[in-house]
Formats: sequence, structure tokens, C-alpha cells
Amino acid sequence: MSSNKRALPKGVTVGDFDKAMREIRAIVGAEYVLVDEEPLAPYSKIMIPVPDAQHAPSAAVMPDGVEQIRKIMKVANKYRVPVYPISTGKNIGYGSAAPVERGQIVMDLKRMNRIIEVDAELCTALVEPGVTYQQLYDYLQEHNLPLWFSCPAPSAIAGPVGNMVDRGVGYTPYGEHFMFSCGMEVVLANGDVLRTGMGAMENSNTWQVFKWGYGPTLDGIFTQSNYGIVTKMGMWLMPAPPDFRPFCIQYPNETDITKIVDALRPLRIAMVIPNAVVIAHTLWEAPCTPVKRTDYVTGPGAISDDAVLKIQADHNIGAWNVYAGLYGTKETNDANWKIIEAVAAATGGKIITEEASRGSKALEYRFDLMKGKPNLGEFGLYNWRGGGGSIWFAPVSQAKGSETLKQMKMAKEILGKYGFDYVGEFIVGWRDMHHVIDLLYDRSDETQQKNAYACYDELLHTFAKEGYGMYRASTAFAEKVAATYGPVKRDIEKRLKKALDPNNIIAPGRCGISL
Amino acid sequence: MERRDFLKGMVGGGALVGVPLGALAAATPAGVAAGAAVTIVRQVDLPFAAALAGRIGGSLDAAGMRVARLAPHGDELGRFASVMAILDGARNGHLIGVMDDASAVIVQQLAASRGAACVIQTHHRVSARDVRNCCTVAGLESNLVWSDGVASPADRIGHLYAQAVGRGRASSGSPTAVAKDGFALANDASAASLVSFVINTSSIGRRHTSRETAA
Ligand SMILES: Cc1cc2nc3c(=O)[nH]c(=O)nc-3n(C[C@H](O)[C@H](O)[C@H](O)COP(=O)(O)OP(=O)(O)OC[C@H]3O[C@@H](n4cnc5c(N)ncnc54)[C@H](O)[C@@H]3O)c2cc1C
Repeated sequence: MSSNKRALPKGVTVGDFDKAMREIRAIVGAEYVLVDEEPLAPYSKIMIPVPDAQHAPSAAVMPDGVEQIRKIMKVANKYRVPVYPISTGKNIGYGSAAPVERGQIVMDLKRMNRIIEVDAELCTALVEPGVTYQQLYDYLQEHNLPLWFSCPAPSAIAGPVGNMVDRGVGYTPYGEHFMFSCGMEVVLANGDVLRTGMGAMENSNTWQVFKWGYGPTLDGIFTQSNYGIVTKMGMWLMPAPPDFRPFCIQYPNETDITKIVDALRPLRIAMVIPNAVVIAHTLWEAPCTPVKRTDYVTGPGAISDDAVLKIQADHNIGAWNVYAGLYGTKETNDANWKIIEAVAAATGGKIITEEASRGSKALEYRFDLMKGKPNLGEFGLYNWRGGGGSIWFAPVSQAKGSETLKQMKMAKEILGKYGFDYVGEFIVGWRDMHHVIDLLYDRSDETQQKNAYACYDELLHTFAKEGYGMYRASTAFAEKVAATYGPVKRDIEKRLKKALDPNNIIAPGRCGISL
Repeated sequence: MERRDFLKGMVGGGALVGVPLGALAAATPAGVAAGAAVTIVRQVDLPFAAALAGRIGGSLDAAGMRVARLAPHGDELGRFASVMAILDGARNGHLIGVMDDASAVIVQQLAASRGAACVIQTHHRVSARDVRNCCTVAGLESNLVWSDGVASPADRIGHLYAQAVGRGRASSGSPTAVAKDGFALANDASAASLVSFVINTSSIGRRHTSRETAA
């Protein structure tokens, strides 16, 4: 065991670091600079299976706006100290609020938490990075605005800017969050402030309504990257539909996934179902129901198929549980409902309506998410195994039945080899699916921690061999995941980094990009 | 609180076999106000939580601390508004949580959003034979792991937390006020998991209203 040697940024001397901190204190005020261990604790890595030291921050700073960030950039360049920006810092299972590399200074943007504008006619919002979904929800409620947004499952505590910047997803028809963002303000490493799209023009009033502007579209390079610090983001809001009809369809067999996907894909592509369809496995539903794993598994190792079947029978959970909704008028939803009923009947699924779902925690939190109502229902996942270990394994697949079954079997086999359960779901984007697997393990057990790392590693490489890449990854695997995308892409990313951030001061290593 | 006392308490309890004192000296929670109020939040519907919280509370009582006790249901700990209210009530002192993994993440993350640090967290695994504990202390890079017999599973934790919140002494005896507790009821099949933790709430600020944050 070793005590926490002060975590300094790579290649930075104590003297230079201290000087940098003095200058940053002068910019933001001493109370907004944290360097001691205890106040820094919220910026420590949680959940992911690597030693905490690997992601220990050297400090955290909390600027109150763009001007302070520009000044901090100057100091960072002068002393070559890297900063790691976070918005609401809840990237749990992907790295939490901790920096990608040891010693980086976390730049926590939570003080920048203004909802700058909500345009109720155009259904747009402009927000700062510290705004949480809960805050935006409260704002819309207090102002009686019949507008919905899309949010990820930990919505109440996370925020739209951080989620969009990491290309997260949600469950309303606006669930592909980057797609429904419109206009960013970004502070670059040299302190320049870029507004993307129409925002680049002075006096433009179309920043939040037309994404592309003129010339190359730059927004994408500021997501899953480290080319700038996003300080404002426009997002589209959805008018609350006159009639919203969420539903769940339960299927009894694991192999049903093939017909489910093949039956639902056409409805999704044709936008009969306009939101991201979620197809959740029994073991995703079980902890959120809640079911206790210890009632079904006594020894070490992965849960048996028989035990999973027993859970399904005991708790009325499907092998697969499909969540989607109809958004429209009563007339259009009545018409589309007939299609849903026909598809469910033809594929052997049992429909559960909103009325029938009352009292079921697992269904209620899903139905709320499908209308953008923040909640914390999905945290129940952490009670499945206990011990506070989790890392998301999230490959992309085609929305084809055969592909999903293949991915599920591959994942289940590898997870089982290391003693872990398959806790997975497929989120049907449009033509793609995010296959999200929560690799849950007991962090207090060193063997399980090591196995979790090795298991993720094997999953990653086995999937890559089959041509399956990650949609998003934890900071601990950023480099390895980036490597699966090949050298040419990486070379371009590096050249962009050199051009935009020659001193490598913004989050070096994020998504595998560094000089 | 003196770092040295904190360490003596842990080492005296045999908790940290093989841990060099020097390594810990730099890592123990500092700056906690002596005599600050403590709120113990235990999840009412969680097996063993009452027993563990009772023992921790007993240690704090024995150290002469002002202790408030809350026993919310797990459902409440999964709701944003109720957790925010709990944090509001526990400001300017320490919050000790005894709850399941999901609730612990929610409470700690909401506290972190409000600037409050979790200074110690322990995962407990309760089985018929023993209680396995794995403790993470802010600033320590390795976890502290030990097992206790089911007969006296929480005494060390009680001492440790009492010291972390600024009052405990290594010599404070086992809390006698706590009745024989439910740990003995554990059986292997249950091997239950629960989490206890200490959050320093002195830096939790007032909440902003959405009107204040609207430009
Ligand atoms: C139970 C559970 C369920 C989850 N379900 C979902 C889900 O349904 N969908 C989903 O997408 N995620 C999900 N997540 C993952 C994660 O919690 C969310 O994506 C969350 O929104 C990310 O945290 P955040 O919004 O606070 O972003 P942050 O943590 O603030 O940001 C994420 C990352 O983006 C970068 N970044 C942040 N802000 C900036 C900035 N201003 N400029 C430049 N770079 C920046 C940083 O590298 C940062 O680490 C889930 C997590 C849990 C625990």
C-alpha cells in the first residue's frame, strides 16, 4: 500500500505546478481552486476497474464563465499543465468526474449553470455546461412550457452539455442527443472563442435553428474529443404531443431477439415508432424491479440460465422487454397502435400498457424517460452484484436480428468465462443499435476487479475482430478503443490536435487523442 | 481531529494490518470541525443496515456527539427531491450513510454536485461466517480490507467513523446501547451487500432556484 503521492501532471515540476495554481487562483478566486485530498475526493474515479491512482486529479478549478476559462488557458499553455473539462461530471461507468490521465487539473464547469434562453415558439434552448436535466425540467414546469427534452437514464443528476459532448443517448424521439443539438460555443486552447454554425456570424438569430452554417461543419469535432471546451450549447426541445402512449412488449425466449429486431426495425425506420426502442434483457430489468441476485445465486460465478428463467417466471419479466412509445394525436396513435398490436401478436410478444404498468418500478422509470421526465430508477442496477463496480461495454451493431443474437451470445460467453452476468440492452437508434452491457462486479474483491478489466479487454478485442466498434468507452480504455479504429483516423485526429492545441493542454488522452 | 488519533484508532483496532503509518498519515481526512453534528441516514428496508447504523451511532454517542437519525425507505433514496432534502438537513456537519449500493451512489453523487466530499466509504459483505469490509479513504490509493466476526462486526467501523467526524478516541469502548443485532441472522445464501460512508457536509451550499439560474 502506498499513500497518495501528490498527483502531478506528466512532465510538470512541482515548482511550475504551484506557480500555475497561484495564477489560476488569482483568476477564479482561491475558494474555487481545490488541491487538498479531501475536497478533491468528488473528482476521484469510481466504478471502473483500474487503480484510483491512474486517474487521480492534481487539482480542480471552477471558473464562472468564458473570460475566466480564456485566462486559465493562457496559464495552462504557459506552464504546460493539462486541464480536463467536465460539465456536470456524472459520467459514471465511463470514468465519472476523474481525468483521463493522472495529474490533470479537472476544470469543473458547474458554476456555469445558466439556462440562457428557451424559445417556446421555435422549441429551442441555449444552456451552459453546469445546467442539469432536472434544472431544465423544473424550469419548463415552472414556466408552464409544454416542451419535452430527451435525457439519459441518470438524468436528474447529469446534464445536456456533458452528455451531448460524450455523444450520449436518451429515449424520446430526440434521443440521439448530438443530432438534436444546434450550435455550440467553444473556448479553444489559445483562448479564441468559436461559435459553430450560424453562431459564427455577428448578430445572427439563427444559431439555435440551423446547424450547418457555411463551409465545413465543425460541431462534431468537439464531441468525444479534446479540441476545445464547450461553454454553451443549443438544443432542440420537442413539443409535448397531445397523446403519448408508451408501452412494453415482453418476449419469453432469449432467441426471440432476432424476430423482435426484424419486426421493429421497419417501424423505427418509417418512424411509426419515433423514439429509440430499448430491448432490455431480464437481468437489466431484474435489479430495477427490484429482484435480489442473492435469492437466485449462492456461489461465485455467473448466474445460470435456469436461474434467469426462474427470475422471469417469479417476477413476470420477459427474456427481452421492449420499450417504445407512440407520440402524436389520439387519431394517429390509435391507428399506429393497431400496427403495434399486430406486430406483438405476430411475434409472440405480450403488450403491457401504461395503465397496466402502474406499480412496477422497472416499467415506470422507463415510461418517464420516454417523455423526458428525469428520474434515478436505473441506479438499481448497482444493487445486482453489489460492491460498487461497473463499466459500460457498448458496441454498435446493425439493427438486424441475426447481428443482435450473435453479439449477445459472444458477450454472454466472454462474461461468463470471467464469472460475470450478461446485463445488457439494445437501444435501436435508427438503423443501428447501441448494445449496452453493464459489466457489474464487486470492486471490494480484488480478483473480481482484475477479472473485470481482463473481461472488458477480451470483449473489446473479440468484438473488434468481428468488426464491431464501441460507440463510447470508459477513460480507462480510451487508448485501446481508439486503436481499434485504425491508424489513418488516429493520425488525422493527432494532426488536428497539433493544429488546435499544440501544447496538448486540453484533456490529453481523451478518446485516445494526444500529442 | 488529530490525524495521529485517527490512525491509532484504526491500527489499535487491528484494522490495518500491514499498512505503514506514514502512508496513512498524509491521507486521513483533515479539517473536520470537532463537535460538528452528524446525521446518520440508514435505509430502513435494508437488512443489516439497522444493526450497522446502530453500532456506528453508539460509537458517536459514546464520544459525546450530537447525532440525528433518519431512516428513509430505499424508494426515497432513489428520488432526487428527497435526497436533496436530506442533504439540506445535514448541512454543516457530517452525514453518515448506511444503505444499498444504488442509494449510496445517488447520495454521494448529489452531495458531490453540491461540493461535498465523501471522505470514507466501506463496502460490507455479510455472510453467515463473517462480515468482509473494504474501506476507501479519500487520498489513500489502496483500499483497506478486513473481516470481522458476525458477533461484533461493526465496532471498528464505529470507531473509525467517530474519529473521521472529529470526536472518537481509540479507547472508546464498544457501544453498549445497541441491542444484539441482526448480523447473526445472516446465512450464506444472503451474502448481503451494503455500503456505509461519511460525507463532510460543511461545504454544501444553499441550493439555487431555477429562477436564479435563468439568464
Ligand atoms: C445507471 C446509469 C445509467 C446510464 N444511462 C445512460 C443513458 O441512458 N444514456 C447515456 O448517454 N448515458 C448513460 N449513462 C452514462 C452517464 O451517466 C451519462 O451519459 C451522463 O449524462 C454523463 O455525465 P454528465 O452529463 O455529467 O457529463 P460529464 O461527466 O460532465 O461529461 C462527460 C465527458 O465529456 C467531456 N466534457 C464534458 N463537458 C465538456 C465540455 N464542456 N467541454 C469539453 N468536454 C467536455 C469530458 O471528457 C467528460 O468526462 C448512465 C449512467 C448510469 C450510472
